[in-house]
Amino acid sequence: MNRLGKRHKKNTFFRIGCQCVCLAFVVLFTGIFLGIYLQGKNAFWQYRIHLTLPNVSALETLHTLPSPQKRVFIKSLLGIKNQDVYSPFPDQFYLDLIPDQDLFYIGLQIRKKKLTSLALPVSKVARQVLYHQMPTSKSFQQFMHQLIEDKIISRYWNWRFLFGNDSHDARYAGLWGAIVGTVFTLVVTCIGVIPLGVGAAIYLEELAPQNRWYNFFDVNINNLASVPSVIFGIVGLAVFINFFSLPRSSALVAGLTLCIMTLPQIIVASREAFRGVPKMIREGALGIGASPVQITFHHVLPAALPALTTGILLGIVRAIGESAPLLMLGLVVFVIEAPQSFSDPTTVLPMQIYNWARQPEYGFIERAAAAILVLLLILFLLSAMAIWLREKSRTKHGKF
Amino acid sequence: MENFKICSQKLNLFYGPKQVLFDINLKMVKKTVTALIGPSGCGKSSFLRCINRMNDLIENVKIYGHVFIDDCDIYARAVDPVRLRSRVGMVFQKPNPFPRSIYDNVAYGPKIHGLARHKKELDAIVEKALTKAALWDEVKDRLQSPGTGLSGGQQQRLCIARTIAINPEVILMDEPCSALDPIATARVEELIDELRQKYTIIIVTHSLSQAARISQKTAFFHLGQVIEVGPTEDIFTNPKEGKTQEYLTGKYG
Repeated sequence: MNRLGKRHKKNTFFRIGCQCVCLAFVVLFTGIFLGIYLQGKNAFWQYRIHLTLPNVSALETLHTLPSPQKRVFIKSLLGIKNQDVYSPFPDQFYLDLIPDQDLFYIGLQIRKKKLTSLALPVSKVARQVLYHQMPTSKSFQQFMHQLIEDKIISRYWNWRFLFGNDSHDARYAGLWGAIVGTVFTLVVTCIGVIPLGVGAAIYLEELAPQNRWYNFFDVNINNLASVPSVIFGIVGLAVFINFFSLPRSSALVAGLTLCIMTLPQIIVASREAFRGVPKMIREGALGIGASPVQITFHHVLPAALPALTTGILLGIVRAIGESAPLLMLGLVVFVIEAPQSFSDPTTVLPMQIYNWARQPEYGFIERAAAAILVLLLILFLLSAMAIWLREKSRTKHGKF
Repeated sequence: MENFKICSQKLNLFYGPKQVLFDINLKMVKKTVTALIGPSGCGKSSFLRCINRMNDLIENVKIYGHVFIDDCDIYARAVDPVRLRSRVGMVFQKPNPFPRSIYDNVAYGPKIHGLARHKKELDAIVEKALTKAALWDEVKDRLQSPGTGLSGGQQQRLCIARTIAINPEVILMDEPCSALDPIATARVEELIDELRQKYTIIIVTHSLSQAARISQKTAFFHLGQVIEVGPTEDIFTNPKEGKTQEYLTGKYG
């Protein structure tokens, strides 16, 4: 009785301990994700201030100026440096803002009453706030929201961030090049790794004679699966770029390198999938005179398909998130235009994040965080697809 | 002189260093049911698997001696084990239909061996095999539903139908009823009795009463050796060897 009670106690402790560890992980990951989300969400929204020049003389002065100096003139009015001002109509101007940086300036200018010369209908209460509060304070933020509500500053969904190309100006930096590059790289990786990986797994698991060579390959594939990924970057550099002279920092080279990187992993996962197929199925087919190749392709492969897709997609998901080997292939480059072909200079999402995260200018950190969100979304979609495919093929082929 | 279909000569089988079969000399008559009985681990299943060379696939297996089917040594170099297995079908202990439709289960064998030239012929083969396996009436309305959805007894009969469909000469059965309930067992036994008309059947069984019911010849295995072989009636009523008698009366095994 006493022993049973002890065992029960141990069991409870263990369960509660496990739950605590799980909870801690959930809290940790939620915290990290929340931090990234709060930073990144700003990049999806672009703030824009609309200005109207009220006094005619200022307008006339402006019109006499050549285009580059127009901007300088407006900038001097606003007290903002290093930013571009756009003018869709002769007396209308707008300025895209980076919230932390530019709102601070604008607040400062309003405080100095400079902006009142422009038609900024700022209320008295708001002006009171601005005189006495720091730009980063809560009431200042509220004031900015007031500006948005008054349609002086408009906020719009920043399509340019997703579908625009990279830029040195944080406001116009977009992810499109990296997204296209990732897709191109992934296509090359998939074309290379799926037939090779599954083929090798089929051969080793179903058809290969068990001899010394088999053991040699068996051990080495398992070893390769745990080699750090930078090594594959060096291999890619030496083989694909230096020896075969393929174009540097292209999707082709990146895809091939990721292909050799994920290959051992996919072979291991595929072999595991084939091993999971019950022996009975093989024997049943063998008993009615199917050849090993027929057994493999008619019975083992369909039965292994659910586990196979999961394994392959997990390998590919790892390839998408990989950046270390690509550093070796020159994929950090600043790519202005989205790649048109597999040999064009390209960058991929992890590289873009790396590139933006080390920029000192305002606004790039947010963009890096937002790019992480996009990458996470893609990984999430791929994982969901893996589960969906698994369930679908499982119901199609029935249970054992 | 009886008409022998299968004949093993000095068959020795090793799994690694362990010898499983010792000098097996057995002759099996055409179109009869031969039962292999004996305690667990005595090598009767291993012997069965030698007849269609299923043991070839196990690692470290060594086989010495000969097995003749119709005077042709199946362990000769020129023999293709895959073609051999299409002549010698096998039914397993646990029903193992493919995870496909009932129709595909039966049609698979004829398809890969090219026994049917078009769909109609294939349909005819499937119907014939299922009818012979006494399953046609039960499944004719749901040929496209999965084979794994049938009951255990139906699954086993489906496996027998699958074997019949390739029109083998010999059917090997490795304890086909051990996973079935008595009613399903009775149906499969009836079926085996009918199949005797056309096929040479070798069945491994743990049930002595089953062996007595369905077989004409019985071989008693013990520790990898054939102790006694003869007509079933003689073995069960009047065994010559002491060991056989002990096994049959339940002293061991």
